[in-house]
Amino acid sequence: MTAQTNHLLTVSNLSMRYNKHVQALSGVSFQIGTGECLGVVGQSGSGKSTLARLLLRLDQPDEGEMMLLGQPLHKLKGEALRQWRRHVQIVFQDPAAALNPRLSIYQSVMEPLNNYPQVTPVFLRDIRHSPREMAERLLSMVGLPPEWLNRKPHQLSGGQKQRVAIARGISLQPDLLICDEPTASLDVSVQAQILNLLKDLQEQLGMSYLFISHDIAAVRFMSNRILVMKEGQLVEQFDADQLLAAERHPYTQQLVQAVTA
Amino acid sequence: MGFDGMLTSGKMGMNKRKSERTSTGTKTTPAERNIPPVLQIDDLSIHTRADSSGKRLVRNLNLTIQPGEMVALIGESGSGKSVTASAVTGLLPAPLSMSGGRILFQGRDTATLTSPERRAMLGKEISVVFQDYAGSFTPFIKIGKQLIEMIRRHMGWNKTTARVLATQALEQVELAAERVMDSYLFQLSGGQQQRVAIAAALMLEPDLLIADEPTTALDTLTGETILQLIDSLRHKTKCAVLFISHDLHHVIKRADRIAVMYGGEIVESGPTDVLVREARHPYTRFLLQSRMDLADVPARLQSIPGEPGAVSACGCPFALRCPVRIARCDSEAVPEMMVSDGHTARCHLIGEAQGDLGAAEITRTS
Repeated sequence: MTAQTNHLLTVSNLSMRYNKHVQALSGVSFQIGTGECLGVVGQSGSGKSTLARLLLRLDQPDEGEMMLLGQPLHKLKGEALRQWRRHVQIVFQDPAAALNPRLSIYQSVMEPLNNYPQVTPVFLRDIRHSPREMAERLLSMVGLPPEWLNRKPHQLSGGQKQRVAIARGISLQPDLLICDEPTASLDVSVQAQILNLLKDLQEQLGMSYLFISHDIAAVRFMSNRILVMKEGQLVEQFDADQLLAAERHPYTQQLVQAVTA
Repeated sequence: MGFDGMLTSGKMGMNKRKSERTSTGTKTTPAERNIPPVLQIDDLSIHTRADSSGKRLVRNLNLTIQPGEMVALIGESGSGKSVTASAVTGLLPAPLSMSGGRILFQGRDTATLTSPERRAMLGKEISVVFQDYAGSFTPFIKIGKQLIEMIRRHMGWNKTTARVLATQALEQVELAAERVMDSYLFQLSGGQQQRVAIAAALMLEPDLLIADEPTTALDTLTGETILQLIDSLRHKTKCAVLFISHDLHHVIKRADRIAVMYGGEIVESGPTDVLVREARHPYTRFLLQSRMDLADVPARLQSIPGEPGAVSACGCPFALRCPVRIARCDSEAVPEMMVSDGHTARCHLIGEAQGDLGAAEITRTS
């Protein structure tokens, strides 16, 4: 791929091993454009979540580079790293585990903004003086009634909890939102609602997504481009509308066949 | 099998008179009519309390499964799928109780079983594969030992014979039998663990396998192989399968018949191909529409209107979310109505304004 100026994230030759025997990621390279959704599909153990952990700098890569907005994400340390963290946020698979059961929805949603007091997203700028109003707006952006701020996670259904997690994910207006299997623990009908919401927010806020899932149908719906992974390696990457093309890798075709009758 | 005498004995007093009316949804071909169903659930109701005062989780459920048949029970979380399965195995968690109806397994009312009889039945005649595959085994005992123990418990065989059967069972699910026998659970991947669970469930050749969301915790490809496995083994052993899932897409490929649950009721049931072509209940239609198509990707997905899990207290359970409901739906309970041979649905709009229930109508109003 030729170098383009509008690339938000450029990952080159990323490798990571957990121990001598587990090569979680080997030589993975890709780019994410501004406002683009890159889908990552693969089986359990293919390295999808490792990739997310590296991009969040929860783990350190053994080799390779991650350039976010021209900054070397893999080299950042200390306060510089902390400042860059707000550009990359995540929505996890299990919203029940992602939310602290003892915190109210208000506390959970406002946590990122409290951590970065100098950050005010565009969509909250007019009400930045009032934390309460900011939290209310975040909830309404994800389709929840603002009155629910005082509730605790156990009073919400799985889909509603995931909406709270998304509200928190967008609260700093990150450049990149990583969605790691965001619908895998939800009912089919709720999955559709959450995917629609993620798409609405992406268009509204111009964020880029890294959308990780083993569900190729969900990845196809969400993504502009798709990256197929297997055993830590990149099988292939292609434009999403080329998913059913004849030249697809046999492994990709296998993934497609598993969901078509 | 001489279970017929059991029909009239035992705790029949608790059954409502209505249970005389067997399911209208189970018309079978003449050839099949002679074979008694493996499982017959008549008019089953389950409440959260023994005296029927609590919340009703399952109401007036009718379902039959023939030998070798795979019947899928689908619906969203809390629709009563797993609770129904627990009632079949007699393992309803403490405060829940059967408040009406009866469950016949091989013609025998399961309510009349003593606990030793039930223990002998579970694992041998009825097996269950759970979503949480890790929970099926003890983590600190080797797989082989657990399988052998299970065989010896049910069959009374010696260790050597039991080991042969356990090895065969693991080979059937395409695992390296010797290595797996000598492994602890944590040494296997999720897909392998679920295969071992299926091997354990099928090695004593049960008459009924209950597969409760067997692939939900697995990725697509692994899940697909697990389903293929269950499918091929049921053809081989003529084992009937009750396949519980929340994903219509998964079951269409495998099941002979589908029963769709909403709010504790089977709102529609029928042969898979008929249901896919001619679904009549709005909820079933929504489920069918929510399947994603890889070739034709819409700007936004079709989702089911209303709050998931919202169940109307009287009338049709789906009334609160249904875009085509009429006044009667909120108040009058819906009887099970026959749409065609083997295809039943509970919707007031059947037989009245059938044309209005078209897909276009639902799309427009949602």
